[in-house]
Amino acid sequence: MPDPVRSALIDASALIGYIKGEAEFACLRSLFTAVDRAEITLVESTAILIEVLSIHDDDLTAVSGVALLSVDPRGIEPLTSAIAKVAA
Amino acid sequence: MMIIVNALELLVDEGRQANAGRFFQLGQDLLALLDELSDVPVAWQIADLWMGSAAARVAPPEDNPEEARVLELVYSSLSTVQKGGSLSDDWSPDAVRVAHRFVERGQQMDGETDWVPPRLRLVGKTGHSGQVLDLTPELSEQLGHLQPFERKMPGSVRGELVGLNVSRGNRASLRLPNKRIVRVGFETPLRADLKNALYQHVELRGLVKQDGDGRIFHMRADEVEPLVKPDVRWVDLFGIDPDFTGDLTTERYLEANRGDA
Repeated sequence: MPDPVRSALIDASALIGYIKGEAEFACLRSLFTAVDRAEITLVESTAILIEVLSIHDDDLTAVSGVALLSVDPRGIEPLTSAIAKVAA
Repeated sequence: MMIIVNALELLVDEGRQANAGRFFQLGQDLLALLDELSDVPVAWQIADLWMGSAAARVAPPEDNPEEARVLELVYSSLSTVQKGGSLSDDWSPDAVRVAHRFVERGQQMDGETDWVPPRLRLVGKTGHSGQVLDLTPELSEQLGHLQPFERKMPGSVRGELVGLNVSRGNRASLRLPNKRIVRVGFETPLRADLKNALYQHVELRGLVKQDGDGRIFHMRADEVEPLVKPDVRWVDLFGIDPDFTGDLTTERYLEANRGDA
């Protein structure tokens, strides 16, 4: 039996597609549900968060979700070279 | 032989009148090394002190005896290096640097003819263990070779503020979500904010130091901000803003921000 998934990497385009509600990213709902339940740790580099938030600093309605979640200490792991090697 | 460690002795200029400068300097360096290897600040105690040759017995406070593990870690790690081995992951680049400084400052000075190497001696509950480590020039050289790579850059770190000590420099400990400890230094004006944030989840901003694997092990903090628990869930983000990229496609949006998608 394969090892259970404990962490997941999401790139900026997938995260933006999910925020925009694009149909092809609806499948990520189950993943994010697991993240909310703390069953899976979402691994994001701060660079991706900056890309996603970069031009929306003054738009509270647009980024409130990502901005609030990005301060959740449980939700995001810092991306180290060890994690990057595993992901590769 | 395994012993239950409860103290570590530092002996300087054994067998002769001690050099006061060397003794106090090495004492300070030893405390700095213990600080680098402790998860949270420990109020180390002088359990005994005697003169002629100068010796100090350092022990954890009575209400925190488990921190004697740090004394054993120092002794066993330096012994391993003495024998040509390497250091464990518990040793940050800062810890290696402080250990190197500690050993180096105990070395023979110009014109000193009767120098003997300073020593560390493990002390168990029933007395001396018989284990002695000489702080030799070879050990200093070995530690110099083991100094790991590090980089400094502006950044932020999130975690739980689990320790704060202002009596021996301004130091704090931040526990990351993965349970690792980041050691934190700060200027006095930040004391009150950190005191108010103790045992809370916070974001610290300032100058971070990363090791060769990208792990942050130290931060010089300039700002502290308590984190608020979000009332929105990740799953709620689906379709939260259909116009997130305005007139641009996602691809064009990312190209505009980083040059590719």
